[in-house]
Amino acid sequence: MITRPKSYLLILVVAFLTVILGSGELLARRGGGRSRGGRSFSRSGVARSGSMSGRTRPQARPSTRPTTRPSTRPAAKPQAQNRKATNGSQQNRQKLQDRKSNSKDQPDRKYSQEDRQKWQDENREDRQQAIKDRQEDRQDFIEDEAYGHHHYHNDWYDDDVVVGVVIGATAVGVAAAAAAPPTTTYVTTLPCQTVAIVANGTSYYNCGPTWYQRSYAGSQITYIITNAPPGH
Amino acid sequence: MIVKRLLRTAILLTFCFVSGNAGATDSKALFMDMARTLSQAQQFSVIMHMSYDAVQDSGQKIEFSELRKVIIQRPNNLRVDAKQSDGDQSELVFDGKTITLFNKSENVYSLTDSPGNVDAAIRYAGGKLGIRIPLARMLVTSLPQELEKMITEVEYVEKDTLGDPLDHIAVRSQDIDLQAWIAEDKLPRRIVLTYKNAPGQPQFRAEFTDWNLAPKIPANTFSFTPPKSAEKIPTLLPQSQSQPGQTKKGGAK
Repeated sequence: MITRPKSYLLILVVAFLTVILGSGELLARRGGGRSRGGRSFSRSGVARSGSMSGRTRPQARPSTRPTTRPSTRPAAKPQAQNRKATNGSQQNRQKLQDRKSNSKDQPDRKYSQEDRQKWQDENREDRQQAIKDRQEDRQDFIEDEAYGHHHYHNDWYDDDVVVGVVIGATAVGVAAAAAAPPTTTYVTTLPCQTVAIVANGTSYYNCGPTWYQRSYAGSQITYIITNAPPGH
Repeated sequence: MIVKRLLRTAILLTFCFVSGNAGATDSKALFMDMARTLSQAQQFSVIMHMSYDAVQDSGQKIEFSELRKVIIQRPNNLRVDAKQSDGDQSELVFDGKTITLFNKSENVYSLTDSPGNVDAAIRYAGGKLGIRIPLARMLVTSLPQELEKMITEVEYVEKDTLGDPLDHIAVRSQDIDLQAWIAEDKLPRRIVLTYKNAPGQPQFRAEFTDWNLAPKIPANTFSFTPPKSAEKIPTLLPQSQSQPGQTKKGGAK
């Protein structure tokens, strides 16, 4: 009589834990901010800059979760990435507009837009989830290799100077390198799991036909496409 | 007896009123005094314990923090040691010629020439290279002018008496609300920025400790010696104007 409730309790606890573990909830929590799969929190945003000017640049806002995840496309396709980034910024603008616009104006239209938006987001998230699941192990490695920090802009882009690189909404950008060819494509995280090959004191990373080396974009360490190291 | 007591109360009330009023009218002076103190200091060191809100796409606000030690020696030297709450450690060193960035976690560094003094280096690092320097304006000698240009309203909130007495001052600008808690030495103990036009109105907060306007600076403070096996990597110079979707100067207003 006494043991039976206990065993029920045990079964309940086990079932509970299984459900929780199965849903990946605990794993996600453990991952914390370093985005070890599951939910990851973005460190970026205008307040990170600590800027006294506080001008916001909507297009630089690291937008939805899918795009802040490490890029799953080869870095050799900056066009596609840029388009994605533009979409992101449009969405943001749209969101802002929605928020600003008076709800009395065409409420139906507004809601349907929102619905569509939601559907799009969800749809994308699903796709992203599938990709993510496949890549989780790889991403863990990448996160350890290169922090997926998306630095925002800094204090000082009013006056005569222009803001730094476009980071955040897109994992791919174009910049001129001080010690590299005039136009360089960079990624904030490598698109594949790979191990550094050191040649002449430089670490090279190989993903398919593409070789990368590390570089600073602002305060952030990124990967630029480079020639294969000697002997490869 | 009663008259005496009344008189005393009246004096006390007058005093309170006058001092309160003086606080209100002098709030800008207090704020600008702080700015001048910082901009006129030949050198200083300070520890900044910062935190900021990162507004997630869900709207949830998550706070992250960072510890920064800043040493500045005008006209040519700056060193910032930063440690993020996730353990990421980095350094920024300017020796009068070169801006060095070093990331301890990745063990990489970059060297970028920056002609001119430390003001120019901070502007170049922050504005052109895109290096993140929170409250960068507080580190340049043009701070008072920068603030004059920026602020639209200054008001005295109160004398914060919980610890050492601090003047709590509220400043507004077009894009941010700023609060400063200034001590009697005219140095800030706390600064809070509210990005009022940004979604979620995130805040940046910095607490300042260990102010020293005459720090003993070890000789090698501003010279960077790469640790063994540290890798030198290039610095990317942004081409902001040619970025798709990137607005030029003033475009984001």
